[in-house]
Amino acid sequence: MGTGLFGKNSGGIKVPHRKMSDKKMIEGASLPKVVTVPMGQHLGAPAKPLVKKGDVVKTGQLIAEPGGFISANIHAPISGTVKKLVIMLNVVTSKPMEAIVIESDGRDEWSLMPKMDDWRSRPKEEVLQRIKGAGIVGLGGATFPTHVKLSPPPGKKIDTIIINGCECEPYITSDHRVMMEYGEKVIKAIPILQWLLDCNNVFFAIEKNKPDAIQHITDLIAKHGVKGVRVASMKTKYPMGAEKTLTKSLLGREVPMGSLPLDVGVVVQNVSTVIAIHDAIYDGKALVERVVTVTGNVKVPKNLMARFGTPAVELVESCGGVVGDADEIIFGGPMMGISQPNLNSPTTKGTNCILVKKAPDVEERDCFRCSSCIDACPMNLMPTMYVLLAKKSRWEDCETLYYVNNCVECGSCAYVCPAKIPLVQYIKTAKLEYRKLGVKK
Amino acid sequence: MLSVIGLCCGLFIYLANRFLPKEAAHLKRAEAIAEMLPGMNCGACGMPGCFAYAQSLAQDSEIISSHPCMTMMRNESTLEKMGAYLGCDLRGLGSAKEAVIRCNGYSEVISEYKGVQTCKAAVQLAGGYKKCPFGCIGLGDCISVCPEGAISIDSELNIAVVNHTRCIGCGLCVKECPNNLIEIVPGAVPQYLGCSYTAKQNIIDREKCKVGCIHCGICNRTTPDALDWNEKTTMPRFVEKSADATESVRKCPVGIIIPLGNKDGMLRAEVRQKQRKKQGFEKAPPVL
Repeated sequence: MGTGLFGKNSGGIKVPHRKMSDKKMIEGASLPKVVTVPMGQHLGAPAKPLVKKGDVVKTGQLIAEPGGFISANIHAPISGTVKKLVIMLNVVTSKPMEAIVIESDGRDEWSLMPKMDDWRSRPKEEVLQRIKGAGIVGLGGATFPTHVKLSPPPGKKIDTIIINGCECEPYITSDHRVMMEYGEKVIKAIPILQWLLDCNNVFFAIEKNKPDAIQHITDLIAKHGVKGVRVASMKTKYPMGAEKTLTKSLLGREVPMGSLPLDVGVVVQNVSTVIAIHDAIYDGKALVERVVTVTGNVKVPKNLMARFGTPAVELVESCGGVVGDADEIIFGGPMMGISQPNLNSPTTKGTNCILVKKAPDVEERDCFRCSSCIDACPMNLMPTMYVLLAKKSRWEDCETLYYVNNCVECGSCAYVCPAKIPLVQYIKTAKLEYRKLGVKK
Repeated sequence: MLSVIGLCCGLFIYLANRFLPKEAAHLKRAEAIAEMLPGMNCGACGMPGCFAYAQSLAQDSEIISSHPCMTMMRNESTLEKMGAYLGCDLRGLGSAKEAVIRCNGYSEVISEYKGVQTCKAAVQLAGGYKKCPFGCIGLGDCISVCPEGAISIDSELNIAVVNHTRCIGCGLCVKECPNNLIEIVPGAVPQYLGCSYTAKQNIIDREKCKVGCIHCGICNRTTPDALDWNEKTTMPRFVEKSADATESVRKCPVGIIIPLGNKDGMLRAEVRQKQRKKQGFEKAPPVL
């Protein structure tokens, strides 16, 4: 094995870990008084609201239904009254979308679905329906609806399931703490995945920088005697947690251009997603909360169990507020996260981290073709070409000559660039403009 | 040896010249046409430059209607000359067009933007760094493509403005704007709506500026014949009707119906005054 993700010099970068909160127990965040629940919390079509102003809702009650095939249910994160329906901007797509504002009654009454402890004796459709009904999406950050991932099209045989506990981004510790504290839940939910996908071969992938988690999960597997599960300790290299790079470095299977790990017989699930599946099946709980790492320039970095729709500022304040010189708030990690325009931005299903930091004051220089980005790219692309083409508005060439749509936007290229070029932003622009060209045709 | 090769090449060139006379005639025709074209190589017709346009025009005169040269279209006498040369009547085709930017107000900056300095990149981060997510970003993607240098950024409002005496209406800027604010309108249109805040309901924390369309409908009641009233977005559209709506321009409570073309200077001054008062500016916002 060499220094790269998949061998010698084959992409990936070393980033400082900065895991400031990896020893902090998960704390329950105090219930927010008002939550704003955006309808676009997942990949795909935004959900359609089912409630109107003045309706009384309970925690876990369905408040929005899927707006398309790739879409998900949304549930009330707190009990209370629907104050109003507003329109807000989706921070990811920058398009207006609806949002439901719920005012808490402070009681936090749950509306639970019936438990499904006997899932083995039920038809698979019913269990899948429950996962869909609970609004579960990939909680690693991409928020792809889980029920779609778990129902592979007929003819596609899944032979490996990977439970993704890599968490390769700096600062974020939510998955690490989830493995340490809710490891039993993960282990209990793995048989459900094995049964649903007819596949016994499970890898539990954890990066080597989390030896305690590796030990803990290995012990739990032995204790519960789950069959077919192996712990794979992965090299600490960014972006190991991206599902395509994980599939390649763990199994040596390269996901072909434009396809998903599904096409090479692999399903990758994040540990937090597996816990959401556990809660939906065994407890009948819909997905209304997740662990959020609040870190960076805050007084006490913490891992908080927070309801969706909580304003970021409340979570930051429960960590003692901002310290030092900070002017930026990011949802997600420093590599792939999205900078927020507003302190009141509500957390969504994909928010695994709130990072408060000082934005680097760097000047973009011209590319001098050192090819650092090409060496760093885990997808074997040529990021520098996208910048050159984007500056000349040659959007079509970005895809037809250099396959921009294969970029996973991991940010490795921008991290290593000595000229401080924000490559990912150019790439995102190129992707969007290329998509627009297709729409026009 | 060298002189033999030279002789052979010379003979080949002579023969090629002798037996390919048609090409030369076609080129001469193209040269004559190129004389009449503006010669700025703006590329707005869709061809790589004026000479390429002349070459394809020499082969097929239909091109002038499918790929019109916008600069030529503004000049009736050149059009007549071209028509005489091509042997078809082009006099009816001439129509001046111009670009309008449907944003005319100052929207405050809500967050500091440090990324790639183009509108297309900036708009992807929460709809831009300004409060109004539908308005002009002001980083000038349209400026870079304008062949006439007709667009500039107003330093006070931080939005792009079109110099209508320079604009040839080529439409290159239209597809550059990520917020789809630029529209090509016939030169005869007397006014347009300088706002694009389409949502009927306000976007939370991202309200329109002080001179944004408030969807009051006064213009629709005052001069219903001069506009199309869009029920869904409750916004008026003036460009299809091309009718005069001076009264609406006067009555608009925010002053966002912008007079165009040959309107008298008094009216423009009036609109300027209204906007200035609304926004609390020392300098009057530009209404060109």
